[in-house]
Amino acid sequence: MNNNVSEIYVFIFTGILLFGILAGFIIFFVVAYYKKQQQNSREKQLLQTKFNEDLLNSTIEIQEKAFDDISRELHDNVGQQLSAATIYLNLLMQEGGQQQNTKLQTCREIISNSLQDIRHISQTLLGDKISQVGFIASLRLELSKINKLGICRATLQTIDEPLQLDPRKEIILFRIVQEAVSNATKHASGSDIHIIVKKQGEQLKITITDTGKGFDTQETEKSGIGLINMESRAKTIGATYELTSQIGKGTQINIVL
Amino acid sequence: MTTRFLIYLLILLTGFLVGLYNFKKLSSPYKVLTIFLLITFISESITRIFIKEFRNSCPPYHIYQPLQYFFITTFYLSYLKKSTAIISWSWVVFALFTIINLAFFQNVWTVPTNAMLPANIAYVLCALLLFKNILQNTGEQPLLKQGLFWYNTSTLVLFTFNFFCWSFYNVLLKTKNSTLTLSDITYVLNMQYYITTGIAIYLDSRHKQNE
Repeated sequence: MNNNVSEIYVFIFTGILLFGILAGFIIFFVVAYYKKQQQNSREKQLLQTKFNEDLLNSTIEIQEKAFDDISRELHDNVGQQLSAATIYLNLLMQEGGQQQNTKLQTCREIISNSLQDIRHISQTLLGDKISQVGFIASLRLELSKINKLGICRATLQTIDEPLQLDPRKEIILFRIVQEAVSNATKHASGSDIHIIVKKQGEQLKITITDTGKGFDTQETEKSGIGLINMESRAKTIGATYELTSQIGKGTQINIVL
Repeated sequence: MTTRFLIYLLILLTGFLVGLYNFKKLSSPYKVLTIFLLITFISESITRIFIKEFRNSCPPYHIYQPLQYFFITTFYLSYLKKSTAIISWSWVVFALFTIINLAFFQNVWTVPTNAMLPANIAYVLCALLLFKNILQNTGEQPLLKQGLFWYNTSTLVLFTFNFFCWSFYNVLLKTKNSTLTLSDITYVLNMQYYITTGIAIYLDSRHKQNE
């Protein structure tokens, strides 16, 4: 009888032990599964981010290549043809009379202005030129072009010391500002555009403000490819991008690198 | 027929009806489980007739054991592709072993524990292998919404305890109260197993529907 009772105790004890082991195993499994799932999710997210970055870099590279091609085409082809036209006009002016010369002079000025514009456009399109001339000088050139068109009044407030920037970052920063200015001229006609470039410690802060009609940022977020491009470009160089706009109160873009 | 047994049959029938209602939406392993629930329901119902007629419920279990082995291992076969050959051969070996056991060791009026114990070990091994498999191939679906997890857990719990209880069967037979306890434990474990099987079938149908 005693033997039976002790065997039953062994049964109960082993049963409880087995239950504990099984429960422990299942808990361990659930925890391990969720950890693995989270790890996989993180890895997937990282891969997705890396893929997006690569895609964006490729897009930017292709875009820069297209800009370079257009720039070279303008400079080497259209520019050369206009230069040739100016030479012919000069020859005509030497041969022609006083009355004819006045008209030819006007014609030469128009062509000369066009040639200058093309050179400016060519310079701002050529990535190498931007890094060669520098970010600030390229900005000045871009703003003078805008002012010349007379659509907006653009001003630049900047530091005097030269910026020590990576050429790739310089090009991308310039493209962001170029896009912002282009948006302002397109959508905020007649307004003032003010650009501030300043250094805050190790950081470079660029503020682009316009006094245009502004817009609803939530509405535009869905469709504004230009805005998405600016943000994506900022991300690729590790800069923060912030856009604020209110209907009737203009738009402000802050970029911190 | 006790109320407890009626509840047990009702659980089996509900699980089977859930499977039958969603049969087209189910993936193949869960279709196997649905048929398995029907076989279990029929087998358990027949045992009552045997109890009534012969005061012994063992004969149906000699047929049910190899069927149960076939259905459960077929379910696992769908997930443990690497063990296809082993599982397929084990059907033949298990069928032969059941016949030999019935002919020479445990006659038709005895509980076929010799067949049950190795089968229980096989189920537990399959469950452990499947747990390893699930851990290696984590998807995005939450674990607790996966029918596979629930079924596999209940298989591990039921057959580990079944093996454990039947190993102690002869010892516990000596005291009447203890066999009563053993019967209770078996009932509870079986009920949890078939409830979870029903839930697993339902979750699979929902998952397939969402896909």
